[in-house]
Amino acid sequence: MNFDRPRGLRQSMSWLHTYSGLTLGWLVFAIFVTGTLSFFRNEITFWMQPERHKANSDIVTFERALGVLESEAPNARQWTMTLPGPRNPTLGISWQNPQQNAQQNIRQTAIPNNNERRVPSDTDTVGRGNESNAGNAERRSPRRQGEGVEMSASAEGRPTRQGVADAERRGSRGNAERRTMQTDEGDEEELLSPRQSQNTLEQAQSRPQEQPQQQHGGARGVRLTLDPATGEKLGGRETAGGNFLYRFHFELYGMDRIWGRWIIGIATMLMFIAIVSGVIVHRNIFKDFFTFRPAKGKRSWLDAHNGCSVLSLPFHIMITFSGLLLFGNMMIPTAMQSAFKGDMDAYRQNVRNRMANFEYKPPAGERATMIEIAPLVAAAERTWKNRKAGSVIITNPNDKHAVIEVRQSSIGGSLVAGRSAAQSLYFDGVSGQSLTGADAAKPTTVQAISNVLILLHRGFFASPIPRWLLFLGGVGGSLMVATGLIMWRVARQKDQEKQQRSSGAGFRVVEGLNVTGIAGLMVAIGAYFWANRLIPADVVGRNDWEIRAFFIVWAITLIHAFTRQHKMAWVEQLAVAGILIGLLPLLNALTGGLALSASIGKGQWVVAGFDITALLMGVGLLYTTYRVYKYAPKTIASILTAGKASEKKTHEQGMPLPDTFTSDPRSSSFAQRSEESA
Amino acid sequence: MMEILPDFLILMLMFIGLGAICVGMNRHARQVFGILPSLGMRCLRIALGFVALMVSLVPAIDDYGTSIGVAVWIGYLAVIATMIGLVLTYYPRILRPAFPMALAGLLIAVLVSW
Repeated sequence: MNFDRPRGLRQSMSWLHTYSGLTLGWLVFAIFVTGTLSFFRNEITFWMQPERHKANSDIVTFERALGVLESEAPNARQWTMTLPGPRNPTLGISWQNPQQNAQQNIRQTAIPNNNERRVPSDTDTVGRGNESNAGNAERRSPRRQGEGVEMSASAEGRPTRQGVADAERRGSRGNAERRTMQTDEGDEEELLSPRQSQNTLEQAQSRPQEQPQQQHGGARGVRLTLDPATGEKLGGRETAGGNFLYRFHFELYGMDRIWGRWIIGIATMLMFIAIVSGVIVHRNIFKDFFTFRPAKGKRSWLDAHNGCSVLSLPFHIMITFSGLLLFGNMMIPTAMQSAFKGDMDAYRQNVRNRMANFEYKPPAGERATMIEIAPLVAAAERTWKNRKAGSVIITNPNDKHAVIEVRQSSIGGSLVAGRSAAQSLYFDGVSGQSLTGADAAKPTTVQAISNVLILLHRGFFASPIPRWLLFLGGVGGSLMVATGLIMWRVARQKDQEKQQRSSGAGFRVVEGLNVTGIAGLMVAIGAYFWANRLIPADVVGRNDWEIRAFFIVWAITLIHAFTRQHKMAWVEQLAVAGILIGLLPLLNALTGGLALSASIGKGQWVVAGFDITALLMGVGLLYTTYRVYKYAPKTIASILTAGKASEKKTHEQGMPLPDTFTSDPRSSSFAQRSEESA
Repeated sequence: MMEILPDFLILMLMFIGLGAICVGMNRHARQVFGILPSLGMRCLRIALGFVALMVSLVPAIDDYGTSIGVAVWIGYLAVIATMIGLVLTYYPRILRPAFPMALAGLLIAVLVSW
């Protein structure tokens, strides 16, 4: 494009659209794909721990779970049971053990007490690369169990110091330990540094934690996963799980989190620019709404690109904008800092949705028999009508002052109210009498808008159908980026040939990155799941090896893409990806997981859903491979002979095929003529 | 069964709505019926289509609540529009019997929900 000549708005926007899309397009594609998979992060983690597939969630036997808690944690002040839900068929139990160590006392003040709730959507969210491997009660910093968002500690080998300090900072204000920790951390200025703002960002995203409840003894969290029906402890291999994909999509891997987030933030901004300029560039949004004209070279690619973009445009705008919003405090901290004069705690207090709270009594020290839990859960679910219970929290268990809280799952409800609006019913643990807690504060307008966008992005609210719709939106977004990237090449193919340069450097780079960025990523994801099953379950640090397998394979596809001829690179990588992903159900059955037939038969839909999706994706990728392999650039003569038949050709599904056919004058005039006559 | 009834209602109404809008457009009317409709017919189809789309918001909001309902509605819209687009491309004639079938499905669903 010549910058010294005057041009119209549309031309300028077209250029902007092309290059804002292309510059970090491959990264945006990876973000879209891993982010889309993250909608099912708990389900993916569950699939990756085949030891747990046998869990039977048809009934929940609370007595068995209580039995385990009584024997494992007789001294804990609070027990939490995370009930099985549509996303996770296991029963999680967790508690905090009293500790003596001073260092841990610091943590304890840091650990925002019992409000750190485990709702089902968070069931398996632990730090990157360290999904819970219960079975033998594993221990880790309580904050990490609650918030998958937070910790990247152990797997990266720069563990808890920052974690402790982070956690610490959000603890109650102004206590001595806090100051100690901050000096330890380095400087008070931290408060204004990016890391701090990122910290608040996370906090704004995550469940609120502070609440004037009593703190209970020095604590370390312990978590076990049980079979809901039998109360049997379910083991589970160490796995990076869905959490790796989740974290990769917003902070990459192997670099400082802040750096990763800034890079993702910039890519997201470019994506947003590309979406807005794309809407301006697109000539006939409504006229071409349903139009797809296959086998017409560049025209078909444009139609496919437009289709993927326009049909789920609301999703693309929502997901990109809310993604930026989630980074808002990190990228533009000035507003927050000037309004609150750098007082982050005040900011947090203000920004956080207040959740309902309840004043607990201290334990009476008198043993009492607790009432049965199941009727309380049933009563609560009757009160809520459409919403299910997500967790049961027992404070002062087996004490005269025992309180049983039944808390809604985050599924359903209202986007406006935000995640913290999940209601709780409190019961006297001995008499079963209903107790009243304070209601959650109503969100302000600003909070409501932020709640809607953030909840939509993170999908906490989503029951299975909305979740699949979000997933499909993500698939549409991935295809939009992929078709856009391929179109850049298709549109320039002719110029390349004209100039008699078989491969200009820039052109060749885009070609190679297209293959590795699109097909190669699929290969890497397939390899990641294979690594999960092929690395022996008892290897120490196997979660790191899963992640290494992902990156090593991706690096190999990069080399492969630049050494092979373009078409063959596509064919080979798509074929490998299709085979790897398509065979996952078989691999699952052979390596200890629940076979597809059994999972459907038992109604274990979390496993069955993964297997069926993998199967469909594999078939789609292989079909794409076949179409790319069969593809030969068309000449005018072949169009004349093929006539109408060529219009019947199909390539609608899965990954787009790298069509190198550029529209020739005849076919485009055909298209025009039929449009005019229409 | 009863749980997915609202979703079925949304899908049918939306299919009728988007389908009507689609055959209200010259290009697609020709693909589906082979003849060009009159201007009045086109306007009628498009108007009916939008009405059906708006009506499909009712079961969505009723079942999911206002905020999630609207989000789900937009999600379904994308899915159905993609489906119609693909059917138009490869098997446009299917849309002819699909309309009465969707209408019948809708009627049955409404009767069942009563």
